[in-house]
Amino acid sequence: MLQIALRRIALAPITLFVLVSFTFLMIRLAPGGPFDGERELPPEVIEALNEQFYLDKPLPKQYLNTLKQAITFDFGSSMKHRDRTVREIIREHLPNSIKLGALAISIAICVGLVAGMTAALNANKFGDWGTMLICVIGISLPTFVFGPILQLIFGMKLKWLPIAGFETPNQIILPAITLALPFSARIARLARTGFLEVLKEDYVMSAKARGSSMARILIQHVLPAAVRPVVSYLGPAIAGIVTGSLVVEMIFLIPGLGREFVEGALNRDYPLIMGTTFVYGSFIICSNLTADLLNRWLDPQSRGAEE
Amino acid sequence: MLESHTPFQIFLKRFFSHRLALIGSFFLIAVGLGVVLIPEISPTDPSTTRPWLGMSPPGTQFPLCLSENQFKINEDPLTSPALKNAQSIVLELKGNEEQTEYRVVLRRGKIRTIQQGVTAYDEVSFKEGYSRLEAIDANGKVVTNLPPAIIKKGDKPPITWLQNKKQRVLIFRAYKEASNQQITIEMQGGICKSIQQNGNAIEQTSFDGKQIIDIKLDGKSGWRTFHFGSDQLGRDLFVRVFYGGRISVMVGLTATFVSLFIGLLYGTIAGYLGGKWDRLMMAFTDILYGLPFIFLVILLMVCFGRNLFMFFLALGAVQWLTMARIARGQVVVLRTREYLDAARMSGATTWNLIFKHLIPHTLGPVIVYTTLTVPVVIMEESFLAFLGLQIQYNNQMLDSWGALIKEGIDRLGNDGQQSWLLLFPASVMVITLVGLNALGDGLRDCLDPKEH
Repeated sequence: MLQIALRRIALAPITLFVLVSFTFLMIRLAPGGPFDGERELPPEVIEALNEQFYLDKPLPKQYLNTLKQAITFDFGSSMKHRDRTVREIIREHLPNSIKLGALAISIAICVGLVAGMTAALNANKFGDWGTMLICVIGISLPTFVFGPILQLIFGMKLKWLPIAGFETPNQIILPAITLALPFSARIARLARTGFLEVLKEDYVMSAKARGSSMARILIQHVLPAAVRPVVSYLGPAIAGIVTGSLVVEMIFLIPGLGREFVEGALNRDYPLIMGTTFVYGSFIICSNLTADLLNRWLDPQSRGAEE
Repeated sequence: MLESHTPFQIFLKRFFSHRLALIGSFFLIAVGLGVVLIPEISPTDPSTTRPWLGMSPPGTQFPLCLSENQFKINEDPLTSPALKNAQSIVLELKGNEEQTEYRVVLRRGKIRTIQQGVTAYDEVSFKEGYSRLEAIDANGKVVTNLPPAIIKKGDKPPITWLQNKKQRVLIFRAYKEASNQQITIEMQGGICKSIQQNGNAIEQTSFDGKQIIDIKLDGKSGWRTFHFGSDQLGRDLFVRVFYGGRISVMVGLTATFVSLFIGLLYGTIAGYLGGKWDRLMMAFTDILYGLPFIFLVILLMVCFGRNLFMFFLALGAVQWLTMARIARGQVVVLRTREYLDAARMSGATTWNLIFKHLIPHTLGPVIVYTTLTVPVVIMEESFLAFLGLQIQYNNQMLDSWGALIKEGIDRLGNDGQQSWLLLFPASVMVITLVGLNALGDGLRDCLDPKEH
């Protein structure tokens, strides 16, 4: 057990290293440079810029510099907004992304558990497969379709909620729902499977036979056992929320880190790409690792079964 | 009495009692038929533009011709395929409006001179022969649809708001509606044989799509409906959605089969070799699995262009990992199964062993995963299109569902007036994705070896 856990933990920095190397290779080997798009800059200025951003050095040296930047978490200043460092940009935009992501995952867990439980309790009845149909739709509805449709219905036609922005609390509702939808659907399906399995267990039967109330059985016996598949999904869910937030931030014009990444990528702002990819990458890798370790610890079967 | 069923019979029985799988199959068959048939049977194609019908809501009628059409006797006409394939074309065209401009100079609110070009008039009547009249004052203010009137030297202008003392110059524009033209064209084998205008034979004719009042092809109506509305250029969204479906589905299937091939090969080799190699190969997939791939895909598309090949490379690189894990897991488990030994002992040949006992067991999860990968790829492709990284082939933009949805989102604006541009492509795509996901889930439930 400990050995496996240690191996998993050792794999995380390697993954991060591979990520940084991949990103470096991709942006440096691509044809064209970051200053191509700008209005005719005089050659001296370009030279100075190249020197400032370390682009005049040979590739291996640049690579070592990038690795150093990643380790010290100091990516220098952005190429498009030269008066701001990447660290400042991340510090300013990350909290918005975290706020949105945290709210979305909470919604996803609450809605998912309730829907999954409803479906399981109505097994094979209309309520069950109706919920499952909604879940399939939820999984199949891409964020960039669901978001604009919510904007259209609640923002443009009914005028209940603002279409975009991130200043007032009611501006976070639509983006959070948009982001939460596919994950609530997946959690609902996992929860349904979990509940169905536990409801068949002998100890639930005996609790029923003893005359415990349904609510008590659910809370005391079923819920703790049934959420295990949900917990095991949280790692991928968090990674998915991070990816989904790219789209949601673009649709609802939220000043989060995802939008900075997309804009950085489209502008070929190397330091910004590196910084944001590094932040997102380490976040996803850490959450996957934590979820993985948590699963192993929670599930006694896999603790014994491995090798 | 105990009936015996083959695994396939059991599968069929389960499948036909699985509601979601049936709904999914129904959706898929519907979209599949649409994507295959509609581009074939549709009388119009996705690239025909009709500027005068831009942004028409669903239900608007459009004539089956190009924006500009030209017919010349004994020549291949310049027009849409629908008109080329017709034997006889009967058109009713709106004539071009004739415009006459009168310049009126006023003094102290009364008309002093009336001039058209260099000719001066004492009195002009707009009462008859004109379809509409408009006036423009010196400030450039235009008033259209004035009632028919007479202007006369020495009188006040006939319309009250024009009787301002400060007015010096007025311009009256009178429009004469040219009479409608009746054009009959006979065609033979795509070549124009005769043209008649209002009953007289003529050598050639050309007309704009917006002039058409009525069109009949071989006695049948030459009008069609924009079922899904039209875009800014007046292209038929209905046809574009199903052409786009071809692209999206093709991309989805190809990328899935690429990842299926790589994944199966890699996973089977790892599982077959076992031991150190297995661990090494799987550690490699574990590392790749941990990467936030969508970031790398975006970078790849931004930096190396957005051609189809790059796209398959990028998506194939993500999707094969799961396939490799599944294949490896299956091979590792199956290798040690007793029933294989039993089959071998009862005299099964290696061939028999592989096809009767190994493949059917690996096939289940692989089929399920393949079905579930297609919607993921379609979604990723449209995700990239949403970010503005539309895929290209031979430097041509491919208008996949994602590209159409992106256009719809961009046109939503602040009031959502043109929401059909988003809703129709999105609905067709979501129906396809629901179909694939429901079918995949259904197959998983039906093929689950645990419950056999």
